Amino acid sequence: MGVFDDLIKIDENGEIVYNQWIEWDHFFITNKPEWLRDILRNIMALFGHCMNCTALDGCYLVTRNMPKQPLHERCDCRKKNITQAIVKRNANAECDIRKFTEYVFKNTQDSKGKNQIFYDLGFNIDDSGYLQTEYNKQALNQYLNGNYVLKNLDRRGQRLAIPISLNGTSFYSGWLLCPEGKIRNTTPFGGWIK
Amino acid sequence: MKKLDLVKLRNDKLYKNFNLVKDMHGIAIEIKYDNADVLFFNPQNVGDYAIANVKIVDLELEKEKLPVELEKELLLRLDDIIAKAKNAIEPIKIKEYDIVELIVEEDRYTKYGIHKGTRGCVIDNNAVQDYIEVDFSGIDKNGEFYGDCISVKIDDLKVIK
Repeated sequence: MGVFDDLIKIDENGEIVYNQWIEWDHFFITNKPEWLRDILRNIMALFGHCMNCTALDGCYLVTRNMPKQPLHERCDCRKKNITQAIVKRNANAECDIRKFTEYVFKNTQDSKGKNQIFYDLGFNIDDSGYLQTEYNKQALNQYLNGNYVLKNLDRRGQRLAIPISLNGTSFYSGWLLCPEGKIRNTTPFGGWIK
Repeated sequence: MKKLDLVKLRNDKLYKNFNLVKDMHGIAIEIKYDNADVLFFNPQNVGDYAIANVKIVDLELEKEKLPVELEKELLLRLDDIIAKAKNAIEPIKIKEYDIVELIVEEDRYTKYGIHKGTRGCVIDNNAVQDYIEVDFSGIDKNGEFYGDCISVKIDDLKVIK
């Protein structure tokens, strides 16, 4: 594997893409220990700091695919360059199996038709474990390659639409970007890729 | 132990009424003999907090400290923080995978195509400033995707099941 293999890639359109990673940094909020991070974020909330910014603190993003900085006037955030090695070491994807067992496969009314998408692809509730593993693997890989779409950003954080492929069909799944390279699934089906 | 030290609750026996649990962290804001008033943040709702009187023997001092600049600002705002504090940590009344209905018609939701009466599924157990994540999206009879996954104020929701 070449030195630049993760930094410079050819995407599916044949275009050269450059993956320089940054860590979003809001002043005074530390990443570790996690309890201190939570306290500091709460203090920022008490002081009226922008919660969008504090939600982004500690998050890893590629420079070609990140929210604009500064986010607003008198923004206290900056970006710190980090290596792909740090991202790879820390990043992980977390998809709760209950997204399938208690949401998607619950019934048509509660899942609002999402269950049928998975039935049509040949899956049912017994495949939840497999789907959980597959989602974690594929989403992490896509994220590490910078293949995500920025969706809503608010006090809860930055949402990402990440492509997932199952049995030859691709669609977006919904994820929340968390500090230090963690992505957490919000919804297994977040729209068709157009 | 002194004012603005970071502390951890090591014994929650006497504090169940305040919904405090062992290993919760807080900030000591007043030390009075054998007791301390401690500011605890709600682990389920960022921005929500309570101040509880705790015996010092039930607290463990953490080695980490708040940044000096934050301590200064906290001292300036302390009276206001104390005035607005709750007496106990309040669990949020909605949980993950509850089916909920939006009971208001507001721009902050309609801009995503979500209207009063729309139903969705709560997809996170944790709130931020009383906002929780709800998936209102679905597939229509033509197989088209509609709606979105957005933050909603807890009071704007009614639990259906």
